[in-house]
Amino acid sequence: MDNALTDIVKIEYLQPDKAEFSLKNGYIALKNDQTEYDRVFLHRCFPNELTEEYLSVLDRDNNEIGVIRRIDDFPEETRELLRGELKRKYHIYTIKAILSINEKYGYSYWKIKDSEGERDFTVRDTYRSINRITGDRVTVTDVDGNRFEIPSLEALDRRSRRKIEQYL
Amino acid sequence: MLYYEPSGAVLTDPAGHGNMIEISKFREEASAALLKRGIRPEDIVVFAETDLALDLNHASVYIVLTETKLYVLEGQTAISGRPGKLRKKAAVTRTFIETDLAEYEKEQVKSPAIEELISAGYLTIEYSGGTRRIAAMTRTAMRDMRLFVKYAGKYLEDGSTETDPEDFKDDRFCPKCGRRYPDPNRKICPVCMEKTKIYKRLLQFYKKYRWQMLAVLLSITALSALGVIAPYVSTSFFYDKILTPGTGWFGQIAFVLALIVGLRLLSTLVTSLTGVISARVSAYVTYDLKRTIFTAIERLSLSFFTARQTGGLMNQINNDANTIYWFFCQGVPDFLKNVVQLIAVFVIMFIMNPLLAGCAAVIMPLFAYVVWRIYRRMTTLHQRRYASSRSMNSALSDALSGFRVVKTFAREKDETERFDKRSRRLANDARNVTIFNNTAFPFASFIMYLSNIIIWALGGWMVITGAGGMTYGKLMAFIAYVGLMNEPMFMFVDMIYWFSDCTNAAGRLFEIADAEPDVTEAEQPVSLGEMQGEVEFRGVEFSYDKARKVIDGVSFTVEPGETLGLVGHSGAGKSTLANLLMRLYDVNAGEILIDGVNIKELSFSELRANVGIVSQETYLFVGSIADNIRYARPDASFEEVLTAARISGAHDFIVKLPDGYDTKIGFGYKDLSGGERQRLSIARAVLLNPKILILDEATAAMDTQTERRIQEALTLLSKDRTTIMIAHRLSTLRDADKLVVIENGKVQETGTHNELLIQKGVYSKLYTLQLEALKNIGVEE
Repeated sequence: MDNALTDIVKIEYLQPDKAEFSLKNGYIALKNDQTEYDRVFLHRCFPNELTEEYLSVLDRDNNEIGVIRRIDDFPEETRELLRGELKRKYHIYTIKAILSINEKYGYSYWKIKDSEGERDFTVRDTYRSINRITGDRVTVTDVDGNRFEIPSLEALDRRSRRKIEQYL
Repeated sequence: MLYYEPSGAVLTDPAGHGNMIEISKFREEASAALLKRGIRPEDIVVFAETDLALDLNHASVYIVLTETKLYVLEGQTAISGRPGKLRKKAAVTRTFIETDLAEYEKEQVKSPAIEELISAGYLTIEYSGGTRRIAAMTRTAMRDMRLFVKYAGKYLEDGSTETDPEDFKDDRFCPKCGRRYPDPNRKICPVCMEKTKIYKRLLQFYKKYRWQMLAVLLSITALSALGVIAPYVSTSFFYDKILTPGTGWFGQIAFVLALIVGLRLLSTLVTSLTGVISARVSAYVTYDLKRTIFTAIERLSLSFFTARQTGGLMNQINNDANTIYWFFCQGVPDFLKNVVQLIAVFVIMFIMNPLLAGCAAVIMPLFAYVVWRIYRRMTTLHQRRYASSRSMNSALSDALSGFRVVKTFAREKDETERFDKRSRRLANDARNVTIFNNTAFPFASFIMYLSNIIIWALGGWMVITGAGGMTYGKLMAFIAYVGLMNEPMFMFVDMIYWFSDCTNAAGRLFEIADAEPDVTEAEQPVSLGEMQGEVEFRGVEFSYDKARKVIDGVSFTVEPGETLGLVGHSGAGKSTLANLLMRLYDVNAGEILIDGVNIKELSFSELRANVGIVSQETYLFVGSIADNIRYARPDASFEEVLTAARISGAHDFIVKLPDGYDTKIGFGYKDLSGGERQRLSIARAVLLNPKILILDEATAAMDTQTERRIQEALTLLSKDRTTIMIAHRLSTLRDADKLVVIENGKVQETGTHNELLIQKGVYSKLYTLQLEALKNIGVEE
C-alpha cells in the first residue's frame, strides 16, 4: 500500500549517467538519451522547502523533459552549472535592515537596506504582500512584483523587527 | 538614493537628440559616457536604461540601438550633492562610471525578448544562431524594457521608427512629488491627496442636516458649560458661601442640593438629546455615503473589479463607512465638547487664580505627553490582537465553508487543532492587552494624579499663606477643574488616531466614487432600429495590461442568423473576444461592428438588449428560480419563463423540485449542481431573446446527452439569430456554419467542420485527439 501510488505512475527522473548538461551561449543545454535541447529551463517544484531537489526541467515550449531528483546526484561541474542557473532564476533581494515603513491610506512606503545599500519601494495591501514562508523567513512583494526576502526575522535588529511585526 | 529612476517620457528633445526613441530619460551622464565610446546622440535610434547588471547586481545599464550596432553599457551612477526633497529641487551631480561595454552587430541581432524570472528578468536577443542574455532588469524597469523590445524589434524588422505616444505616458509616478502611485490603476498619491478637500466633501453630505447639526453644536456647548459650572457649585460655592457664616447664603443646604441635582438632571437630558440627534444624522449620512459609493461602483467597468478582490472591496466600503460614522457620531461631538470644556475650565481657573492656573497650564501638557507615550505602546498590542483575531476568524470560516472537504478527508481533528492554535494565540494577545490595560492605566492615572498633587501642594500653600486670595473652597474647585482637564487631554491623543483613520476611510471612498469607467457610453448613440445581427471583428487588438497582447489582429465576419464556433486551447483568447463584443472591455485597436456600426457608437441598453451571453461564470442571485431567469427581463410573462426554461433544458429539473419555479436558490438556499446552474443561465439569456447570442462554454458542465438535447433546442432557436459558440468539446460545434480557430490571440484557421478536417491543421488534430479520447472511455459520438 505504501508504495502503491508511486508504482502506478513513474516520475520521469533525469539520470546522472544519461543526462548531460552543458553551457551554451549562457544558457543550459541538455543532451538526454540522444535527444538534444539547446536551451532548457529549471523550475523548483517546492521553491520554499526544497531548493535543490525536485527540479523540473522544461524545454523551450514549457514541456517537461524530466525531473532532477537531487542536484547532489550529479557530477561536480553540472552541480555548479545548475546552481548558478537556479541562483539567477530565483534571484531575490535580501533585506538586511528596515529603516522605515511609512503607511499611508493602505499603502506602505518602505525604506530598507540590502547588501548594496539603501532602497525604497512601495507595497500595496501590506498585509497580503508580506508572505511568511517557513519558520521566520518572510518575503515582501512590491507593486512591480519585485520580491524581497528577510531570511530570518530573529536575525533582524530589534528596530527593524518592530517595524515589520505589526504586519505579520 | 532612488530605487529606480522613472523614465523620462520625452519624445522631442530640446537638446537635439534627433529622432531617438527615448524610452528612458537620456541624461547628460549617459550622453557623456556614450560619447566617450564614440556613440553620438544623433546616431541613437532607441535608448533605454535598466537597473541590473548581468550578474543581477544593481547597476545603471544603457541599452542603445544605433543604425549599425546594439550596445549594452554597464556601469554605476554615482550621485553626489543634495537630493531633492518635496519642495526643494535637487542639486545633484551624477556621474557614470563604466564597468563593461558589449557590442553587437545590428545586422545579426534578431527578435529581442524578455525572459521573466521570479523576481527579475533578462533582455535576450537572437545573435549568431543562439539566444543570448544581454542585460537584466528588476520588475520596476521591466516596463521600459518591454517598450525597448517593442520598438527595437520593430526597427530591426523593417526599420520603422514610428511611436505610439500612449507608450510614453509614464503615469506611474505622482507628478507633484515624484512618488510612485501605489496602485497603477488608481492615480492617487497618498502623500499629495488634499485632506481639507476630503473633509469639505464629507461635510457636503451633512449639508442636508445642517439644522440638526446646529442643534447638536448648541447642546454640546450647553453641556460643556453645565459641566463647568457644576464643580463650582459643589465646591467653591458650597464651602465658601453655604458653609461660611456671614455670606448671605449661609446654611441654605437644601438650595445648593437642589441646584446640584438640577444641574445634573439638565446635563443628563441634554446629553441624551445630543446623542439622539447626532446618531440619527450620522446614520443617514453613512447611508447616503454608502449609496453614493455603490451607485458609483455599479457604473464602473469590469476591469475595476478584476483589479481588486470584490469581497475585500465590499468589506472595505462597509468598514470605511462605519469608521466615518463613528468619527462623526462619537468623535466630533466628543471633540467639540472637550475643546469647549477645556477652554471654559481654563478661563474660570484663570479668573479664580491666575498664578495657579498658569502652573496647571504648564504641568498638565507635560504629564499628558508622558501618558501619550504609554498609549503608543498599547497601540502595538492592540494591533497584534487584531491580527490574531483576523487569523482565527479566517481559520474558522475556512473550516466551516470547507466543511464537506474536511469531513470527506477525515481531517476534523487537524482543523480543530488549527483553530485551537490560533484561538490560543488570540487568547494570549487578548490577555496581554488586558494586563497592559490593568497596569498601564493605573500607572497613567497615577501620573495624572501626581500633577494634581502638585496643584494641591501649591494651592494648599496659597491657602495657608493667603496668597492671591486663595480660600479652601476655591482650592477644592481648582482640584475639581484640574480633574476636568484630564479627560480632554486623553481625548486629544485619541483624536489624532481617529482623525487619520477617518481621513483614510473617506479618501478611499471618494476615490471609488471618482474612479472613471474605462468603457464609456457614446454621448449621442446611434440607433440600429431592427438589428439584423451581422457581427464583424476588424483587426481587433486587445490586452489586459499594456505588455502582452491577448488578442492580436483578429478579423472575421458572422452573417446574420449564422452560427459561428470559436475553437482554441484554453487561454487562447476566446472568452476575451466574447467580452469585447459585450463591451465589458474596449478594444485597443481595430473595431467591432454590428450591422456595420461600431459597437462603441451604440447605447449600452441597445447593445445589451441585443447581445446575450451565457458565460462560464454562472452567478445566481438570492431569490426564486423564476426571479433568476427573469433577471434580464423582469416583465417577462410566466409563459415566457417556462418556454425559456424548456429551451435551455432547465424545465425538467425545475418541475421535480417541490416548490418548482418558486424554489429559493442562491447563497444559503438550495444548492444546484453545475449543470443545473448552467441551464438556468442559458434560460436567462434565452428569455432576453437577443439577436446575437454568445454561448461561452455554456454546456461544459453537462453530460453529453443533456448537452445534445439542449444543443438541438438551441439550434431551433438559432434559426434567425446570430450565435457565437465557444466550446472545448469540439463535437458541440460540429453543426456550426463556420469555425474560427484561435491560437495565441490570432486567427489560425477558418472554415466549416469538414473543410477544416480536410485542411489537416490545428483543428483536425484537436478533433482526432478528442474523438479518440472519447472512444477510449467508451463514448461513441
